[in-house]
Amino acid sequence: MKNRKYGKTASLLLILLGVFTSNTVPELFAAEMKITGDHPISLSEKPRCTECHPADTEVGFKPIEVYNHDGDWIPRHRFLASQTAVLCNACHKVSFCTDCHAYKEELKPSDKHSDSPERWFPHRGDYLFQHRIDGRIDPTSCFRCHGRQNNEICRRCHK
Amino acid sequence: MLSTRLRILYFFSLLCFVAPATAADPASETPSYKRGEGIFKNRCAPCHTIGGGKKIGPDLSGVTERRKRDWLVRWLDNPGVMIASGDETAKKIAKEYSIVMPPPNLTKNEILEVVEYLESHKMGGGLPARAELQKERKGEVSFSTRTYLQFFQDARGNRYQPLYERVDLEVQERERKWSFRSSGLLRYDLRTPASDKREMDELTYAFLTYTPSPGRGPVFKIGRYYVFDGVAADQVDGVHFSWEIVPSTGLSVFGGRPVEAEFDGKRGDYVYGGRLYQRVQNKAEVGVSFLKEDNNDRRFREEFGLDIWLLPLKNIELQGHSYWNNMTEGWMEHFYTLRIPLQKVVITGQFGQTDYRDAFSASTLSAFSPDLLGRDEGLTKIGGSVEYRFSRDISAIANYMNYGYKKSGDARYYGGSVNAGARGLSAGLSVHRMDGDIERLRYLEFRAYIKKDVHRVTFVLDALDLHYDQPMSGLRDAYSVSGTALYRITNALSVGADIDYRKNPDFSLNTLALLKLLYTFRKDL
Repeated sequence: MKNRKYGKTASLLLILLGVFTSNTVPELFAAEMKITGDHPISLSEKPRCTECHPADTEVGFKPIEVYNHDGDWIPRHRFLASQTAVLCNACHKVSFCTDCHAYKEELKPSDKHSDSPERWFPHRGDYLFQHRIDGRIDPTSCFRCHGRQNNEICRRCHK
Repeated sequence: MLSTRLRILYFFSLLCFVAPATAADPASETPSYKRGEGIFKNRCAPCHTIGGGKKIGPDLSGVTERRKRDWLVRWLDNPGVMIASGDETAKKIAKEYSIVMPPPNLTKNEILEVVEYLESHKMGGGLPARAELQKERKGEVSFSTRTYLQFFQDARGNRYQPLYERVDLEVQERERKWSFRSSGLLRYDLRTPASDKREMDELTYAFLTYTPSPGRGPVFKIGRYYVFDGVAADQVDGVHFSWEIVPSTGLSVFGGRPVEAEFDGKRGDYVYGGRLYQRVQNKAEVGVSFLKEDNNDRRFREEFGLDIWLLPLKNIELQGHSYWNNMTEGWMEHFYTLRIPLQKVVITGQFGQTDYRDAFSASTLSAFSPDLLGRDEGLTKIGGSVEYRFSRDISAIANYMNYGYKKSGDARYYGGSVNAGARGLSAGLSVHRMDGDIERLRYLEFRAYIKKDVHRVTFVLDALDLHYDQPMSGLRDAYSVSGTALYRITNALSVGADIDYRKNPDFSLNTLALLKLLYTFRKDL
């Protein structure tokens, strides 16, 4: 009985190992689920504008390098959105923003886009316990989305 | 039942869904060069013309006479590979144009269709094909629907099966003067305790845009929209007007009814505001903004904002904002970042300061009350990050943030992460430490993921663990492990499934499953 259990576990691990180490180059499906606006090609996984455009190219009176989605992009993106939101629409539909900045949606962004683990999303994992800790650390990060709206669920406990 | 506005949205969405489905199969009846024309317009035309002169890339007039078909096919498959292989023509093009053409991400069939479209231009204007190509489209419609069915159980053993349906619809006419954008959500619980509300709907946004002179001049919006203008980051039912008077100076104003929590009364609610900005070529942008909101006929919010972006030296960028609360007469928030992007390194510094009394005075939630967060409490954040890119696909980032509180003790969050990817495989690992003065703020955070694309299927394994210094409710490790598989049946249609296994101090065990059906299309009218 025990051997059979180990056998099943080993088989499962082997299958997973096979899947993740196989050398198949995937086809690229640029059009799927990413309807671009004016940008000629769909981008994924933290696009860097300067990979295709010269660094001194000017967009919205700023060098294009400013828009590189580097590791610091998440804390920075709100500045650029509040100054030149129209540029976001060159690549993103409005619904791209509302996937995280939703009003009443209960489904977490990290669940909707679980096939994009490289993207930063709020509330990963089971957030019910951790939100008390994060709320203590920096409540301003909660307030932006849940301060005045999108808090019907919060009120179940926070009467 | 569904609200009227959501019914209208779904009606239009259904029309869009049914129309292409009932039309003849485009793949079987549309000539391949015609399909190539569509691809060319969407993917190539931003950088290339045919007979219209150079843009970012060369004029492609007569290109099928200058290059062999096989060469064009290989080039369209991956220009970078052609250059790296030492192809003389490819190297010459790369030298002539400062930008290496990115891979257009076309399938083999799509490449052939583009080539046939290019070939149709050497056939001469007398051919019917050429005449057909001159027809102009009337506009464009894009539509997507995302269906999610979730299965989970709460701590009391109640089982839930919420079904979510998210529909996005965008229509734009050819001149780009008029457009309509909308998105709505419907939730219906297939299984839930009888006392719970089974359904919920939301019109996230639906607005009509009119731009008399596309690309410049004023833009009018009416409907439900999101406004991100300086101090305003709100959802509004109303009108929005923006106008870049000259390329360096512009303004925006908006007004309407705020979309806030449902339990909040709406009588006498209104919101208005605006932003004025000035840009200095490549060096600076300064904006001032204002927002006023009345709630139930009472003054609720009066906020002023100052936002800046500066590039004093070539590689030093400063940006941020300060917001003032005129109701409490105090600063709500200062938040600034200093960024130094170098060849392979990006260094970022952050500074933020918040006074809770001023920042949360207009909250509709008790979680932000001084009783819970502490009277006269405030937070100062100072930190930064260093990102190093080893190559296009491998990067590492180290970060540090100090949280200093007026009343409570401090906390420090620091750690690093590595992300790498190649040939359809990507992976990430991060380790962070929260080191606070109180017990609850002392823990280690680990996350690891691995993602693999195999043909049309994406597999993901993702794990997150919080290791508390002192056990929380008897538990030292709160963790979640999830597995995902997403199968792309066609470029427009995908199905997927997730399984999550979670353990935390509230629920000893929680298993959650999610099924997904994703469909999207874009069609010329």
